[in-house]
Parts: sequence; C-alpha cells; structure tokens
Amino acid sequence: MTEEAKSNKPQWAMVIDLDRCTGCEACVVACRVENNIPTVGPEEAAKGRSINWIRIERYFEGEYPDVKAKFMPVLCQHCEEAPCEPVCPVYATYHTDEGLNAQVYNRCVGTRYCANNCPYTVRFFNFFDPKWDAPLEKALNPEVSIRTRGVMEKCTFCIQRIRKGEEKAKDENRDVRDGDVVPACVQTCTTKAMYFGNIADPESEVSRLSKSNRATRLLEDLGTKPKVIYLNKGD
Amino acid sequence: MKRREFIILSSVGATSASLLSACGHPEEKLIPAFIPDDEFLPGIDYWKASTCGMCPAGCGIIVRTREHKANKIEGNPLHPVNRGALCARGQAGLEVLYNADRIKGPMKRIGERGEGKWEEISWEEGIKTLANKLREIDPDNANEKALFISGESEGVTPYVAGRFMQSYRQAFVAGHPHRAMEPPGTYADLLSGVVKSGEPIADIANATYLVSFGARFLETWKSPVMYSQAYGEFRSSRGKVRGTFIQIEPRMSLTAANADEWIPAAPGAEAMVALAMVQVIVRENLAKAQVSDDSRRKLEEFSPETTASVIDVPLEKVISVAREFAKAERPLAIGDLRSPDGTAIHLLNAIVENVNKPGGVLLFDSGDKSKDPLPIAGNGLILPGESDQQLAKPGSREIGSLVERFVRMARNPSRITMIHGTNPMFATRGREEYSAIPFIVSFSSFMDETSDAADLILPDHTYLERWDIHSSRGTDGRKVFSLTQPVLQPQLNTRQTADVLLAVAKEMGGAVAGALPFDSAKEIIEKGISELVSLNHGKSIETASSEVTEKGVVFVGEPIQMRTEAERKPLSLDSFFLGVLRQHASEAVANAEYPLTLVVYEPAGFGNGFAANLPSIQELPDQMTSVMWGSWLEINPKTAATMGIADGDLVEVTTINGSVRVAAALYPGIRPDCIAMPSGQGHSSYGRHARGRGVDPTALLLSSQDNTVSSKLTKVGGKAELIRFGTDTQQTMEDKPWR
Repeated sequence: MTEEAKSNKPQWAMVIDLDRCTGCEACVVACRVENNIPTVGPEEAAKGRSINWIRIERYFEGEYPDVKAKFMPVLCQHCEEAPCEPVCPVYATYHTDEGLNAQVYNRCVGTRYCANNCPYTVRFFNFFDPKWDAPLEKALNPEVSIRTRGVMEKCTFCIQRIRKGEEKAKDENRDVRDGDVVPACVQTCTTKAMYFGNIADPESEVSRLSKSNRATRLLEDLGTKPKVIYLNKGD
Repeated sequence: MKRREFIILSSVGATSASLLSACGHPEEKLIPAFIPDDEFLPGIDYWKASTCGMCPAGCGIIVRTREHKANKIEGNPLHPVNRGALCARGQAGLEVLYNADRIKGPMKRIGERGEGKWEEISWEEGIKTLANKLREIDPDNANEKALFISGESEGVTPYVAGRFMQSYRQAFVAGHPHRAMEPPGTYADLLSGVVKSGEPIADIANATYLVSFGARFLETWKSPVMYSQAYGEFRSSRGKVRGTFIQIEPRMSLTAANADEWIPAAPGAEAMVALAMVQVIVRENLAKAQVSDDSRRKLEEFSPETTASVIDVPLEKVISVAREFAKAERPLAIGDLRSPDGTAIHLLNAIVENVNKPGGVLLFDSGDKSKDPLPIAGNGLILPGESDQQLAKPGSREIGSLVERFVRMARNPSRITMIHGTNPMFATRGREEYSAIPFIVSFSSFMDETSDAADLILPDHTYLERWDIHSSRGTDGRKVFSLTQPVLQPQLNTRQTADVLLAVAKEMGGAVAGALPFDSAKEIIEKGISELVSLNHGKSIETASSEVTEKGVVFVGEPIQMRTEAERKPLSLDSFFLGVLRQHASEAVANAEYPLTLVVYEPAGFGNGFAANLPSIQELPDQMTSVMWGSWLEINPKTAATMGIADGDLVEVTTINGSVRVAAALYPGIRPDCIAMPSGQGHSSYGRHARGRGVDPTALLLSSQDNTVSSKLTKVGGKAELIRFGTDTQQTMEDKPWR
C-alpha cells in the first residue's frame, strides 16, 4: 500500500460481489453509452476488434449434467503495480496520485505494448476512427473525449464522474463522501453487486467489504495489486 | 451592425458562418454559447424523469440532457420497480431515439405493396386519408370492419384507440408484446377469499429456498430489473441466510446459470417434477397444509417413482429437493409454465403455506381497473357484433395470441387494419392473412416488416418524446403510476399516435369526436395526473402535480397485507386438473423422425425482436455463448460429436413447419436430446442493423404459444457466421494460459 502512504487523496477502488452478479450485462451497455465507446459492426467484431471496457467472463465448470456456469465482470483492475505502465515508451499510461491507472490519449502513439503486458486483456486498440450513424452522435457524452485511430483505450473508473464528485465536494467545502462518486456500471447494476469508493477511508463501503473473508483479487499471484476486489460466492 | 455585435462575430471567426447559416434550422443552431435561452444553461446537465419504454415493465428513468441533446439514461432511484437500476436494453434507449433508420415523417405507398416506394406527405393529408378511409366503412354493416391492434396494453394509445373504435363500433385488440413474461395467476381460484381478483408477486428477496420451473425471472419477467434486485437480496441480505436456488429446465438459461443447481428435466416435464415433489412432501408428512385422504390417493399416480421415466431426472434428486423445499424456512416455487401446467406450481406453494407470507407468493388485489386514470375500453378486446362472453375468457394478454384469437373469431377479415406498438408481420405465421387486408396503417417509428407491408405510415414519437402514464407494482405490491414525458423536442416530423387519432376523430366528427373531447395526449395525461394526485391529501393539486413532473412517480394504495393464521383453510386438491397434466406431459414425447426437441427462447437483450435494430444490443455478447451479431444453435457437445458437428459448423434444423440454416455453438448446458435457438433475429427489414441478420426460429414452432417442437438436425456444407466476443475461444477457467 505504498500509494496510500504517499498520497492523502482518495484511493479509488471497486468491489464486485460475484454471489450477486447474474451476468446480465447492463453494466456493459451503460459503460458504452457513458464513455462514448463505438460499436464496430459485425465484420470488425469478427476480427476481435469490438471494444468493451467492461465485459462479463463466463466460465463453465464440470460436464453435463453436473455443469455449472460462473460469471465475472472484468474491467481495468487499476493495479497499483500495473504491468502496462512501465512498458509505455511515451508515458501515455501512468499512475495518478488517486490510485488510478490513467491513459493520456493524445500522448499515446499506439505501440500496444501496454495491451500485450496486461494480464487481464482489458486494453483496447482503436484500429480505425470511431463512427456513429447520424444522428447517433448526438447521444455522445460531452464530458468524455472520443478516441481516434491508433490510440489505446480502457476503463477510467469513469474519471469524469470522479472529477464531478470531487468538484461538488470542493464547492461545498467538504471532503468527498462515500457515495459521491458512482461510475456508470455501478449505477446501473441490476443486482447491486458493485460498489465503488475510497479504499483509503476505513469507513467506506469498499473498505468494509474488502476485509470480507470472501474477498479475492484477480490473478493476485502476479503481484499486480489490483484495485478491483471480487467477493466469492458463499456466505 | 453595431460595434459590439461586430466584435463578437469577428472574434468567433469561422464559427460565425455556421452560426448564421444555421438560422433556418433552429434545432441545429449554435446558439447555446452566445444566447442562452430560458430553457437551459450550456454545460449544465438537466435530468428529466420519465418512464422506460423498452419493455412493458415500465421502470422509472432519468435522462441526462445537455444543449438539447440526451446523452445518458439511468434508472430513477425513486421508482419502486427498478430503484435506480436499469437493464442492458434500457441503457440502449438512446439508440432508439437517435436511430439512423427512424421514419422521418408521414408517408403513403406509391408503388406495389412491399416494393418500398413511398411518398412523403403532410400530417394534414395523412390524417385526412385515414379519416376518409374509415368513413368508407359502414358501422351498421357487420361485413365491414376496421381493426386497431395496439401492442401496448395500457396507457394513452390504447385508451384513445379503444374509445375511438368503441364509439365507431369497430374492432380493437390491445395486449403486451412479450411472450415469455410470467404467466398470469390462477391463484384466485385456489385461494378464494384471500383477495378478490388476485395477481401474484413472487417474494424472491425474502425466500430462503427457491425452486424455479423454467422461470427465467432474471431475463424475461416483468420487470427483470425488479426481480434481479430481489435476487441480489435473496443471495446476500443482512440478517438473512444465503438463499438456495434450484432451476429445473432442459436448457440452462442465464437464470439457471445463476442457480446453485440446474436440474435438466425432460422438456415439458416440469409440471410432473412439481407434482412428484408434492407427492413426496405429502407422503413424508412434511406438508403444512391439510390434505384429504382422497387427495393423497389421487396424488399417488404422480409419485417420483411412477413418473421417473417421463421426468428423466435421478429419483433421489427429486426426493431430496422436495424434502429441502418442505423443510426450508421460507420455500418458494415459481414457474413460466402455461396453463394447465402452472397449476402444479401453485399446488407446491399451497402445500407449504407460503401465500402472503414473507418470502412466499404475495397476492395483491388488482382492484377495479375502471378506476385507473386511463381505463382501456373493453378491457383490451372489442369485437362488435360477436359474442362478448367469448372474449371475456381469461387467457394470455400477449398481443400475438390475442390477435390470433381475434382472427379465429372474426367472421370477416377487416378492411382497414391500424397497427401500433407491435410488429405482427415479423415472427407470425399469419403473414398471408395480413397481406390480404386491403388497407394497412402502420404507426411504427421504424421501417419494420409491418411498415413495409403498409399503405399509410403515420410514425409515432419514440418513448422519449411522448406523453403517457404507466402503472406498475413494486415488490411490496404497492401500485405506482409513473409519468412518461418528453425529455426533449421531437427529433423528426413524427406525431404521437394518440394525437393523430384525436385529429382523425375531429375530422370524422359525430360520435367518434364526441367520445374523445380532448385536444392532445398531453391534456389527457395532465388530467389523469391531477386526478391521481387529488387522492393524496394535504397538498394542492398544483404542488403535487409539479412534484410528479419532477419525480416521475405517484404512489397509490397500500402495501400487501401479510396473511394471518385465521385465514388458513384446508386445501382441496379437487380443483386441480391432474388428469389433464398427465395427458399433457405424455404429448411431449419425441418421435423417431424428429428425435431432438428444439427449445426456442427469448433472449433478454433482443426480447421479441424489438431491440434487434440497436447496435449496442447486437454487439452485446450473449451471456452464455459470447455470440454477437447473429443467431446460433445450442447443442450438447456429446450430441454434436455423434453427428460430427464441430463448433461453428453450418447446420440445418428441420421441423414439420420448415427449416432454417444456422451456425452450431457447442453448449454444455443443454440436454443431449434437446437443441436450442434464441428468437429476435432474422428480420427481413427493420433497419441496417437488424435486416438480414440471423434467422427467426419461431417460424419452426407449431403455434405462437409453444416454446418447443420436435425437430431433426443435419450438418450441411457452406459457410456459417458465428462471431464471438474477443479472439479468445477458451471455454473454461482451466484453459486460460495463466491458470
């Protein structure tokens, strides 16, 4: 927890309760709409070029008739020791003092080293300029920049919503409170399986849940120290 | 030009040219940065409350708008149905509003029917044309008919259309478009005296042991969001044990994938499993309800031992689930089964006495419908000159089956058919019957299959541009009315259908005009809202009305009263048609020529095909197979191996009704004697994203009421399209290279 020692700013983190998640994918569409993620169409999708900042991984276990399915929403884990960061030759991906793994689009030169080095495969490359069939561009969120061809993109934990929450707190002359910042995926979650907040604040919901005996992190053994905490199924 | 204006204009440089040139198009003007109008401040979000129109559930929404554009839809936290959440389809709502394939204004056909040649007309001409056509029909002549079909079973459109058709003595059918919704209850017969006219809510949130017989409550129930939230609480709610969930169905649906155990009983045998469970509970004296000796004897023919061959599930599994169910603190059984099979599930609930208890089946009094702000004439069915008794029979309120019933009963086909809110030309075997109708009016916002065959198109607003009231119920049974109001100006030259009908009524005059003394749908809604809020005491109507506009919801009525011990009564099995069930189950046996049972299911995203024109839904990977942009056939890997079928191979599915070709997707969550296909794709029209994409399996079914049919499968040559999300084809956690 070196980051927390360095910074007195909020350390943003997410908790996902896998016992509640049903894999409904409402978060996937909410993220697309909020963050101006284009659809690429069937031809490009067949080449594996569709972009989903958050996706639902589905795993089958066992064989018929004793087969079980498991769902796991996977998004950028905002690792404290992010493998994508040191490989960027132009410092387009870096770590903020709020614990976010940030991507500077206009610095990115598209080497895709970061995507290669990401064990979670949550980084997406823009193989072409995004396009929306008119008049769908009217639905674009004015607070999120559109990524052009040759640029990597990924989940930002809805940075625009984080900034809004922080500015509102500043206007009201107070610290950011738990619940001030709600990313689009967390907001729409149909089973209330997702939580977001400041993990440096011991009173926050994510802090409390991260201490649960069900808490685990994805590919923890790699030493990436993810900021997304999963709660396993069970009591 | 004043000096000040000159400075402003020259300082904006090139922008000024577009500023001036945009004057003729007020919707495109660059004005926000220069002349803030009284409607908005630039850069500030305005959230407007309304109601989602993507399915009949009616979740509350709030829409973020800025500079006359809507850019995000979220759930309304004040709405009791969805409590702030919203499903994937609801999130994609802006793709309906800003869809590139919307019809831009009224049109009339100029070429041959179906040729696609249209001429844009004015609204005045469209309204006159419809009024003149309707005038040609003599209301006193039973051989001439006009018919209005509404795919909305409530709200201002069926309210106005119903009154219109009633006063003109013509036919009217209104129903909801969802085949896969939870079935209407017949609980009232079972528990007469508890409520007068009951409808059930399954209190999943508070149950501790949930057995579902093919109920896909996380996907297709009304509302999936409401039941998903209940499921979340069922799993982990403070002060409650983690609920156990068993799903019994031949194909593992998304709902079954979330169950603790999936029991793949034979297709159509779900009711037999339920009855076998009842028999076990009764014979082991675990029943809470009293059961007569006569009923005990009757049940014996449904013992798990007797029906084992039909059910095709290990005997001990049925017995252990029955025991756990009966011994659970709060057991609950639910099902998507149609009559008469649904009765078996009611019986299972009745025998553990969970009705109107927390975690059980909550019955609410659906009350007097005529007290609703927008009562629907004829309760959604008017067939003048025919026997109204026949129509009054309870049954599915789904529009497809209602229209099928109507067509069967009507002695003469209609001369003019007006169609709103549904697309009967897609996924209906009655396509020829529609083609025989001399004059078809489509009110669709899109060029769908029905609009293609129409003679006159009078496009409706989308749900984000119109006025309406929607009623729904929260999990506590409290009734809530939510307001649909325009979140922004109409984007195209469309008009709300209720407004069009009011204009047609004025044009026609006489009894029709007299029955509809309103100027606009907005006026009807405002009147309805002020009537509703007048029920809330202590506030002026103005204050209360503006509160509704702001919050989007009004509560009416009381939460469900939990049952008292005094209301307990002995249970009689005599009212259950057990013999019918027995016969029903044996019908489902597959034959030698068609050895596989094809299961056709409505996927949560596409629904009945309504959302197939939305790119976000097309590019949303199917939760179970990861397939995007198309159709697929699910087949058990063992069955596939015996037939030499590999993942992605092109196969042909044949039933006695026809055949389709589609890519096979190996799927471990399906019985080896079953195959499954999702519906909603296979449009021949409906815009660039839907047209020619995938196949429609509903045409293979024998009737619109069925979900299964006997089929055969052959591997055929040719290229199949199966697009999966990502390039990763690994199916299990073990296959991941890093594991």
